[in-house]
Amino acid sequence: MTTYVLRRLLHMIPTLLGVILITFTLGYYGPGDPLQYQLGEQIPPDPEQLARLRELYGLDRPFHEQLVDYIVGLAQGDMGMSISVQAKRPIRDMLGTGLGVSLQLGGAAAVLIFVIGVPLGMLAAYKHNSLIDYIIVSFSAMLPTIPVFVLAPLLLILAVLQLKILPYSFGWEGLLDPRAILPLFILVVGPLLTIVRQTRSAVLEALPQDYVRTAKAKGLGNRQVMMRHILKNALAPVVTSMGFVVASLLTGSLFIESIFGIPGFGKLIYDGLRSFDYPLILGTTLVSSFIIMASNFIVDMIYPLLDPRVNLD
Amino acid sequence: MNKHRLLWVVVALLISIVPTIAQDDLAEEQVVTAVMESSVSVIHPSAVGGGQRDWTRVTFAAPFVRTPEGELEPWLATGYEVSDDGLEYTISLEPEAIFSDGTPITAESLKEAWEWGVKVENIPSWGGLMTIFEPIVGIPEVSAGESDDAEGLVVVDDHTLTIVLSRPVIGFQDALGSYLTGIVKADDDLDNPDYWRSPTTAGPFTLTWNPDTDEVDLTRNDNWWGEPATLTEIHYRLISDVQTKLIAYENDEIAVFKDTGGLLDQISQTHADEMIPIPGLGFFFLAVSNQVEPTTDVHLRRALLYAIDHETVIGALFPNHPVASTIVQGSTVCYNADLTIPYDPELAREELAMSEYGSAENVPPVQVYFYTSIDFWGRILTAYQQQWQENLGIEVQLNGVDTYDDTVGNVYRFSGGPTINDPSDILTKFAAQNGNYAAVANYTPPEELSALIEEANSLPMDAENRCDVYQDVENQLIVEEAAVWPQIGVPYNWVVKPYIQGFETSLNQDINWESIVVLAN
Repeated sequence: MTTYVLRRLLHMIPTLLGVILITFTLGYYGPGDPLQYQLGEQIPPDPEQLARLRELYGLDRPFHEQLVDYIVGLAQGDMGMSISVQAKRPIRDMLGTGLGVSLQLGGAAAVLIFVIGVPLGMLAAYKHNSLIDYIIVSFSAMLPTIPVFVLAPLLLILAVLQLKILPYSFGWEGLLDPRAILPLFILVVGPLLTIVRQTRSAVLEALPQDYVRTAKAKGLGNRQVMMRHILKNALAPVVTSMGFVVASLLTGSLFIESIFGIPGFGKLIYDGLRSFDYPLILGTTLVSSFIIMASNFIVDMIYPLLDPRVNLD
Repeated sequence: MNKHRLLWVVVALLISIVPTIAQDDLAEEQVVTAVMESSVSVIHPSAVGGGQRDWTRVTFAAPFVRTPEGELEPWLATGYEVSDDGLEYTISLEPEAIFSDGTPITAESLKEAWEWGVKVENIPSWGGLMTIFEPIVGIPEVSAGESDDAEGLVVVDDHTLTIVLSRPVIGFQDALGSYLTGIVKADDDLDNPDYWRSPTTAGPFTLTWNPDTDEVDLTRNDNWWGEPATLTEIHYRLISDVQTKLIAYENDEIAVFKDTGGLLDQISQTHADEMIPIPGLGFFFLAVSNQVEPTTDVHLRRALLYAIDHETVIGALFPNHPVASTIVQGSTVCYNADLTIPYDPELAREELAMSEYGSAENVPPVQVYFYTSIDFWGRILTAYQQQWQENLGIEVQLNGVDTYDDTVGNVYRFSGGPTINDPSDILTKFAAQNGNYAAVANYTPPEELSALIEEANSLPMDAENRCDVYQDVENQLIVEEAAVWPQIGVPYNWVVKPYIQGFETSLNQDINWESIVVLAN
């Protein structure tokens, strides 16, 4: 087990280096120039001034020098400075703050998706082909089909302006503030279908199995059979899906954070792309990659707990 | 009591009652929440380019402020004098002026602040303060790091500073009313990024910035030397989504926001009475190169211009947006309301016939470049593409790009506007040989046109024919040279709740927070 964990952790290093190399190469050789981009279409500065700025940000140096400096800095916890921010904020600080917000929001959404999605999936399977099944599957299929940029304003108008059940339309004051309700709701409804359907089909698959029949023959009640036997076996594919869902939730939602004015990780991705902030794009890509790898790793670590046949050694 | 005495008593009573009534009308909490559309990228005034200019006026005082009409009013300075040759501007500073920490503001403070503000590490990529201070003697050297002392900023005494220019600049005094010239306290640790979270200010309000949450809060400054503001706090909150902005406004979470066109159609219908137009702004235009074939031919440029019905196309696609037909926009001095761009397919075909190509078959494809980041240009240009095809039979290729990396195109989509309320600034950018807009569009103005703009710029401000000459330049650029095709006036508006009273704005897009009150609502 320890060897497996160490091996997986060590595998992350070349993967992350690969991500850095690809992102750095695309940024360096791809079309556009970060400073030129920020220049926009307005009055250009004189070329000497632009050259001095390029020198100031270290963008005039050869590719390999910039890449090595970045990796060395990264090893020391330095992810560089934002070039679009004149106040020169360190990328590490920006990512730390944004990630903190997205982790709260994404973490809460992940818990809700699991807590709501799995029981709904189980219920739909247990009552399959009944009205309850149809309602659960229809609703969980319908809501995610509405794009976020349509659903969010609609819900805002409904909840804030019409029904007045929510006092605020934007901002972030923590997870327990009413401002978090709508973004959380929208974050949850998106992936809910995946978990409901995954759970439903896994439970339906488990229901006719011999071990379920045996458990029932032993005199166990439906609830006990469901919780102790069916669910444990059905959870493996659900956990795999949750891994992807959690990774996407934790890396922030560009649209949701932008619409609700939430200073999260998704907003940083948006800011970086919008202003061609090269170090910020690198930083957000790297952290996103790490979150996806970490989430896959955690999912793999959970498998043996659900299925004793899985041996990580 | 005789009649006169009674009259005086009544007058005295009225005088004493009027302020009481006004005071009663005020809201108990003099607090306003406004919106910023994008994350704060910079606090120090010499680099402020976007929404942050809203509060720069009241936190980092410039020598002057602009009125809605474009006039300069004393702010940090009490007045200025210009030498006869137009090379020296002597400004007198307000003797009572102090920073928010209580230390006095002197001419030396202003000089040091500006010298810090033009350094290359402190200016944004588009130039910031350098765009207006470059003509000051010694400033380019300070900016380049070759000198610490700008010789052209001469401290005469504690409250007098003389600015020496290397060449006369029309309307330079207007630059002293720009937010870019606001003062910072150079003795502080300005190079420390954390300093800007709560910098020393100089104005009616102090400022705190939380970059983690994108929140800016202004608080009434007890060390402001002028009349104390009525507002005690102003909160700026980030809402980048336009629909959320409107919902937040209608939900009374915010009282003030700026619309840069995204909500124009909606607010024109639902909040027309609460819209306050921002004066003197710029316009979107198409700029045509005369250095890349086939638009090297002036007749072809005219043919292309006369073949598109920009008023109908823009009017149909954006009914609430002002159609622009001039470079000098409506609220700027010397605006020419009579200038029209002809839409005349017959005339366009005549021009095409007069061109060196003779007919459409011989014209190489015309390349039009535009930024995909503003989606509506794709729609406008597609309409034009069809009109060029129908009216002239000319093939035009549309190229949506992220940046204009090279100058291989014939037509580029730009935006621009005046930095001062005078045609000299904006027209010089197009018509002078080294004009900025001309350069980026790869357009070389004919020598006669450059001579004409020089003539216009040399005229005294009170010359009777000054506007005529500028309008001649403008007409040549648009109609004769067909080098600049104005499209849409920038429709910027503040949207302000009725209970916010005394709201004014200017060419700087700023807000007179110091004079605003909140009525009880």
